[in-house]
This record gives sequence, structure tokens and C-alpha cells, in this order.
Amino acid sequence: MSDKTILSLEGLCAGYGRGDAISDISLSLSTGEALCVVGQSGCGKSTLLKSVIGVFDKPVISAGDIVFDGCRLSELSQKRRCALTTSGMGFIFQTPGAAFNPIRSYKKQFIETLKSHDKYDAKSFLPSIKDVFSRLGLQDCERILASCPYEMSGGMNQRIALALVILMQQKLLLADEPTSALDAVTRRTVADELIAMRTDCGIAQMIVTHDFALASYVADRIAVMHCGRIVELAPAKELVSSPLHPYTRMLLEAVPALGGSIPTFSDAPVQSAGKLIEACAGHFVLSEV
Amino acid sequence: MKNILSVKDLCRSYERNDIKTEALHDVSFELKYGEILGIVGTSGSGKSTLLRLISGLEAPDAGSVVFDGRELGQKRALADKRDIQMIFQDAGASFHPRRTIASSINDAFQSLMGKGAVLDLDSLCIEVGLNSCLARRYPGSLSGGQCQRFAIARAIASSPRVLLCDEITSALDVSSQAQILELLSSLRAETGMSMIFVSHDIAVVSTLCDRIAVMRGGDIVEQGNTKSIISAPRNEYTKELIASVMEVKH
Amino acid sequence: MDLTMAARKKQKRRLCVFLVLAGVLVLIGFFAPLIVPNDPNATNAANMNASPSTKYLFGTDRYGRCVFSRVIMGARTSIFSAVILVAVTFVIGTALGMVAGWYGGAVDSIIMRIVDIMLAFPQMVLAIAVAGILGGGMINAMLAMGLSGWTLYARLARAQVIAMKNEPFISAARLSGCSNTKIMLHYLLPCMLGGLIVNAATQLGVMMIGIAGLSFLGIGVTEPNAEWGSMINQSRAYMQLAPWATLAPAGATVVTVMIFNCLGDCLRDYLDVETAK
Repeated sequence: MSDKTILSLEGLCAGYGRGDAISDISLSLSTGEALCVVGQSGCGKSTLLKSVIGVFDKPVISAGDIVFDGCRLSELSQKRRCALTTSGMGFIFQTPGAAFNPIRSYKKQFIETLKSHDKYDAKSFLPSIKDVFSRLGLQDCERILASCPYEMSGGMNQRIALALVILMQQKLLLADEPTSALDAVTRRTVADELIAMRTDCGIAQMIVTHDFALASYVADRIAVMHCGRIVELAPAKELVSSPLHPYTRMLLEAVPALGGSIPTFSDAPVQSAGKLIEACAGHFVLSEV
Repeated sequence: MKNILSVKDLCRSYERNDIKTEALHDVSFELKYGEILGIVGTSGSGKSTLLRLISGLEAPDAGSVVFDGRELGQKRALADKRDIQMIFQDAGASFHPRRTIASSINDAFQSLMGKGAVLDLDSLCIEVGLNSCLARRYPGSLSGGQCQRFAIARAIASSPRVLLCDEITSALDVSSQAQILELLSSLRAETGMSMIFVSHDIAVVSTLCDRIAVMRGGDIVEQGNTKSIISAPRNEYTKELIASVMEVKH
Repeated sequence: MDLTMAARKKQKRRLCVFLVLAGVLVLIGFFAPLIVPNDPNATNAANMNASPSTKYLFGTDRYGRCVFSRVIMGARTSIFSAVILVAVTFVIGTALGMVAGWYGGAVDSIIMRIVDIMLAFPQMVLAIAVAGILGGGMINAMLAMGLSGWTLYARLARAQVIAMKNEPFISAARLSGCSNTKIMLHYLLPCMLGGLIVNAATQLGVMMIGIAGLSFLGIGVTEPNAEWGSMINQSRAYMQLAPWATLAPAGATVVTVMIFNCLGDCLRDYLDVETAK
């Protein structure tokens, strides 16, 4: 792609002790692009995300490398890596508000976070927060800032976490099931905000989810994972309209459609060996060679 | 008589620190024999409270629950308990953490059917599509989808006539969700069991249920056939719910 | 992963060490009459306040009694009274706390108000009052300690029951027609036992100090029975002359209490991980 590549994984293998949970993952993500990693629970999608974060609960990388913003992460010391990760990447997790201290006001926590990255400027602080909040459609900026995370609903916490990522001017957002703990209406709101964040601020996104509906709504490209490997990688529209791998088709059939018939999913084993081959432009599928 | 369950003017409010919040406000609806009724609403709309009242876990402030022509009180006979069973959102937590799944299921069965009743665990496991070896494990070592299917097994062991499902697929991924939905619909086809399926996701509800009731702030704001609700919603809130569905465009 | 495994192993080893130490203490208490080198109650006017020697390991007190033998006999009184006391208060407190938490309403209010009343008196003052009314003696001292001791377990058990009451597995048990007693004994109790036992283990040390304290004040164990608290009290007047007669029971108390406290701590660390899993 002509755009600047922000993150690329090169044949990444990683896991916790016994064997690799993910193997031979190669992906790249350019500025302002959203990639969704879709798969069942236990397919290794969270391990993939944690390998990229590499700060807490981190998997052991046995082969391959991660390049973020031009830096090879394996060449950095743990301390440098942490610094790079925390200043360049933002995170949201499944549990809303997990990143906040529940009993301190948002304002204090925002200022603290900005200060620790030398991005705090007392004069521009309030106007810039107001700007970010209005972009995400959050009203009552002052009231939100004065309140504490425990007083807010899950959806609100998730949206404020997004606001902080924009405020920090981070280049990449990593999200682990950002909407699965939210109800349907809030889920849609957060999805819309993810899109706004990408188009307005150019923040690249890597979103891990089991929700195909969210993925096809938000993502530019979708990667389907099964048993620790990517089985199909394609632009979102193309993957949904003409899936090539049988596993992708199975997952798509499991998505409930409004007013549709009862979704199905069979436990039938599917092949997850072989090599990722480009079937047509930009559409990769795992096939036996 | 075509209603197995009818709920009339149910009210329930909770008091905390002298602040009274009304969780349910004059809720009435009917459940026909062999029907699956979907109840949709966001969190805090009172749908879980409604199920807790119907199941007898909590007592209503006012109103009545009529099952099979009889009004049910707070103290329920064993036969009534047997007939109305409930499944919860957090399947793992709905099993005793220090007991095997098999012993939990067996225990529930014995209490409902009386001592000496023999449970055929193997065929029950087959019915919910699981290997009975898994039942010898503890809930912590099973996946959410497996736990939920065992929770269904426990609930249907006593052959209930009404099954109450409280957000039972919300914590599962789409593949397990699809399997649970399939299981419920085949259960209904085989046994003619009536069900109330509560969820915040109108897309999920619309695939399984014959009728849908939309709840908001402790009231049912709209109810009707799934088709008419989906294609021609009248209430503003229902429209909002439908608009929020993210569809996979094929 | 490996790090936590190593830490876990270390926890297990620590727990084993303290379990063995506590076991040794209990055994010493149990077989005290068999292992004492001298008669703990035999006075000897010719050998008063003698310094430690091979015959009298910790010397003798002002009546010429063997301090070592008396410390060992004292272990019996101290440890067994504390164990019995903790066991009884544990059972009563837990039962009342669970009933209060499960039924709530008036039952809860009545039980918890009794707890409040018991807690309103300082434990020692209450004990002195009881001893004043009933007179001194071991049983009365234990009664005095137990009168407020159970409240700890009652409050803990109640809090845990209230926290667990609305867990789905309790609701599921209720829907499957289990009786209240069955839910309490089979569902609630096994899940909260760990935390309660840890507290009981820590409480052993506290009770031991309490009884020693009462004996020190002269309202617990009475002469000539050996008890660490009363031994310290009687020999403190001769502190300069025969320091061993004070230091030996004091040291024994410190060591024993520390062992039981550490045992409680280890048990908590060990079980915490177990439940976190």
C-alpha cells in the first residue's frame, strides 16, 4: 500500500509455555486503517493482541517480529519498548472502564496520563478535550470530567477511553472485544465512534472481536483466525460477500440477521494448515500447497 | 384456553438508601402454549426482574402470575417449580464452583423429582449435544458455551413446561450463540416447551422468537408478532433498537 | 508463568513448614505429662530461683519448681484452651452469621444488634466483669473471651452470605427446590469455609494472648496449674533475681503466637490463589 505502514507483523509465532498459541501471523496496518481480527474464543486472537502490546501478561514470542512505527520491537529493551508502546498505542478492553481508576475523577486521570507522557498543556487542555468530546458526540464535557468512572455506564466508560486515545494523539488503537459487554444500542454508538476516530483523526485500529457484524461495519479489512492461524484476510466487503475459506463461511452463517432464520454453526473440523495465498488482489486465503 | 402463562399488572420496586426505583411498572403479557416470546430491552429496562418474579425467586409488589389457569403465589409447590425453570446469563457462575457439573445436575434433579428418581445423564447430555465425559469436570474448566449447554441440560432434566432464558447468549461468541439458538429451537420442536427469551439484541431475538415484547424503563412499550415488529415498528424506541442493528451485508 | 509456579511452590513450602511447627506444638501440648523432665508442681525450698542447669534447663522459680517443665505443661493449657475456644466460637459465630445473612430482615437485625452490643464492650473489660461475677478459673476465662469472640465470625459469615446470595448458582439451587438448610450447608458453607478457617487460624494467637492476659491479671488459670500468663505474673517480682522464670514463658508465648499467626497468613496466601484460579 502507498500509505505509511504503522504496524507490521512478520511471521509471528507466540504462546504461553506449551506450544505456540498463534503461528505464522503476517499482517500489516497502515495509518488510518481499521483491521478486525475475527474468530471464536480460544482461536488465539487475544494472544495476538497481547503480543503486540507486550507489556503485561505477555506471550513468549518464539519466531517472527513486530515492527511498530519503524521500530523493530525485538531489538528494543523492555523499558524502551514499554515507553514506545504506552506513548504510541492506546488500548480498550472488554471490561468497560478497566483502564480507569473507578474512584478518581476523569479530569485528574486525564491530566495525570497526559503529564506522564509530557503532552499536558494547561492552557490547551480544556479546549482540546471539548473538541475531542464533541467529535465523539459526548455532551456535557465539564460534567463528565468532574465525575468518576464508577458513576458512569459501561458504554460511557468505553467512549471516554476512546476520547483519551485521541487526546494522547496515539497512532494505533488496540481493542479487545470493545463492544461485547455493551447492549445493542450502545454497541452501535461505540462502533460509529470507532469509525469517526479513524476518519477524523487517522488513528489506525486493530480490533479483536467475535462479532462479525461489528467487524463488517467498522473494518476496512478483516482477518479470520482459526486455531492460531489466519485462514482468510481480505477487504471487509469482499470477505463478507465472497468468502473463500469454509471456516469463514461457517462463521458468517452463525451471525444472526434481523428477521432472518436461526443461525447455525457446526463443530465440523476445518483444515487449518497450509500457506496464506493471494487468491485475488488483496484477498488472501489459507490453502494447502 | 391457549395461554400457559399470563402475567397481569406486575409491579416491583427496589429501595436503596431511601431512594425508590421502579424496576417494573404494571407489566402484562401472555405466553401461549409452545410459543417462544422474546423480550428485548437495554440493561436496566426491568427484563431480568420480570423473569425473577415469574420464576418465584422474588415476590412482586403487586400483580399476579397465572400459570396453566392457576395463580402462583410466592410459596410454590414442587410441581410448579418443576414446570418453570430458568437459565442465567453467566453459565459458569450458575454451577456450584466446587462440585462437578454432573453432581450439580443430579442434585437439582433429585430435589425436584424426589429422592429415588433416576437421572439418565448420558441421554440428557446427548440432547444438549455434549459428551457426557465433560459432565465429570468442574465448571471452571469448561468454556462458556459448554457451561451454558449444561445449564440447559439441568433446566430441562425435570421436563419443565416453561423455560425462562435470561440473556443466555450474551456472554458467548457468535458460534456458541448460534448453537444455543439451534438447540432451543429444536427443543421446542421436540417437546413443545414454551419459552421466554430475554436479550438486549433484537437481531438474536428476531431469529428465534414468534413474538417480541419491547421493554423500556420497566414498561412494555410494544409487543406483537416478530414479523410486524421488525417490518413495521410503531414505537420510537423499537425503531431505535432496530436501527442500531449492524447487519452483515452479503 | 514459571515465575508464578515458583512462587506457588514457595508458598506451599512455607505453609508446610508452619503446619509442621504447629503440629509439633500441639503434640507437645498433648503429651506434656510424658515429656516433662521434672514434676512441674513439685516445690523445692533448697533450690529456689536456681539458674539454668542441665537438670533444670530453664532454671527454677521462687518455689524451686522446674520452669522448663512448667512451660511445657503450660503449652497444654494455652494451646488447648485456645483451640477449643476458637472451635466453639467459630461454629456458633458462623452459624448465626449465615442465618442472619440468608434470612435477612428481622432475624438479621436481632442477631446483628446482639453482635453490636458484644462489640460495644472492650473485650478485656467484659472478661474482667465476667470473671468478677463468676469468679476466676480456666473455664470462666474462656467463657469471657468467647462471649465476644464469636462476633468476628458472625460478621464475616454474614458479609459473605450476602455477597453470594444473588450468585446465579444459588438462584439455580433455589429454583431446583433445595431447602434453605441444604443451600446453606451444601452451597454457601463450602464456598466460604476457606476464608473463615484462615481467620480462625489467625484468631488462635489472639485467643492465646487473651487467655494469658487474663491469667496475668490473676483472673484466669489459678495456681498451682501451669499457664504462661500466670507464670509471667508470678515471677515478674523476681525479674532481677531470676529473669529466666519470666523470660521462658514469655518467649514460649511469643514463639507460639507467631507460629499460629504465620500459619494463618500462609494459609490465606495459599487459599487466595486457589480461589483466584
